[in-house]
Amino acid sequence: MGTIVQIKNVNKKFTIDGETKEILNDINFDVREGEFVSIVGSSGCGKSTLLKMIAGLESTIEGEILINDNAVNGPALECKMAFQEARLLPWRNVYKNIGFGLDKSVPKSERDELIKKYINMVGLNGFENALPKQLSGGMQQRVSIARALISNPNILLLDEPFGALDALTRINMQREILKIWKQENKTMILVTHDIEEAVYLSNKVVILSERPGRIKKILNIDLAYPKIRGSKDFAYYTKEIYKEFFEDSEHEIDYAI
Amino acid sequence: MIKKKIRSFVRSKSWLGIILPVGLILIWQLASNLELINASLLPSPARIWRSLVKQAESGKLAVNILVSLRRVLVGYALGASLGIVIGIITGLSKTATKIVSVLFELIRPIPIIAWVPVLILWTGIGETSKIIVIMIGTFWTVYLNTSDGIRNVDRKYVEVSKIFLKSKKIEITKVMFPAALPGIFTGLRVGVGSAWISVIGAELIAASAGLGFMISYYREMAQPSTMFAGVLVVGVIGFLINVILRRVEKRVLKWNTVK
Repeated sequence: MGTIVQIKNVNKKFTIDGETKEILNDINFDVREGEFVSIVGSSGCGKSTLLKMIAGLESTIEGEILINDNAVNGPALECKMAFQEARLLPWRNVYKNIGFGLDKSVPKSERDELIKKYINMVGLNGFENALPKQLSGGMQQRVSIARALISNPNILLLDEPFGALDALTRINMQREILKIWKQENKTMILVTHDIEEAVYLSNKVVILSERPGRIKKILNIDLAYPKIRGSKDFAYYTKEIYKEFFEDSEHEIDYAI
Repeated sequence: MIKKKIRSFVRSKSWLGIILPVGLILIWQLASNLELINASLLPSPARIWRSLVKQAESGKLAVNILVSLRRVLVGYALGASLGIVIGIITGLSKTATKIVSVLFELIRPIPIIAWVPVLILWTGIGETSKIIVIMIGTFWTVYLNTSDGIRNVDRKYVEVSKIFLKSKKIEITKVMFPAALPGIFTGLRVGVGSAWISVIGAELIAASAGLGFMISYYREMAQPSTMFAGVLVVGVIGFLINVILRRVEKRVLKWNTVK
């Protein structure tokens, strides 16, 4: 498996009311093809900004982000994103929202079949004509993921897509995303603040410090799928990550096994 | 089906709105019967109704309504289209907003009716002057609401458009325009009200047909009941236009109101 995403010496600053704020500082890591990488950090650490930079949605970049050895300078065909708040177009029904993900190069004759395939994949048969407002949060996220997948990108960027869901729905969605990851052989990059989720889903976890975000640690999760949440090894990795967050505080004890 | 509709009408309390106008007409009629009101200043509802029926039977009423409606339709369509197009341009571009800002803010406070003599001077007493007055009346509300609507489109939707590599044209027509549509519709609804006000105003000043003409003509003819019949029709048609537009809005913006 070759390297598909390279992040080299990336910095990011925002200027708010004339004051320059450093958001990300000297970020370096690689993502291999077919890998599931999570980026974790507390809120405001710049992890979502980093994901948007990979997606080509941030205009100014210090440093370099390469996808398949090409520098990112705008949204790319091989890289699609599912957003935190689903971001469905509220005036389009499920069918048309998923269809929005199709590139204009896809001929009309193939569109219908493709849309139906992805509606089926995310289990929304019968909801083709429903409007986003009529769907639950979990269903909206499924539509958002289907919309991202339908253009067949090599890389899927997930910006806390399960953050707003209840615990049970979240576990279901995590299972489904793993299923899709296996089936479709995608590279996935997930931003989350849920440490369990990161351990459960990914091969590799990138831990960011508080603002300005720096890489604290990159942890390889050497567990076979499907991972068992209650297992000792699973707890070991969760603890390793918690340690990074609470190294200076006594909170560590709360998470000791 | 009809039973169901009646039941939901009763339950929705919409009927509460009917009490005031009906009550007012009854009191008015009663006061007229008791000769408490000078009939040459305000004829009784029954008298106005008879004049209205007479006008309708002679066919004059239909002609006047159609003339006014045609003017509104043409002027409104032109004014609203222009308002949407220029609103989209200024909504998208700060430079465009700056270019038109001073001129627009100077012209906008001029009351619509003040344009009538000017336009008669420029284009004569025919249809053109009236249609331009209606255009101006419609333009401002549609323009302002469209411009604001486009400017305030949530960036999140625009990012979605960008990540899926949509062209600028798709971004504007399929993302920004529908996102701004609730605001644009507010402009269209208020705009049709001012279009109706504009046509009647223009016809009151100079016209040879139309509801505004009907009102001023029968005032000169000293037939107050027919004059009031004209006022009544203006009100009722304005009311109906609003109802129709709300229906259209409800259908087009179903996604915005659905629960």
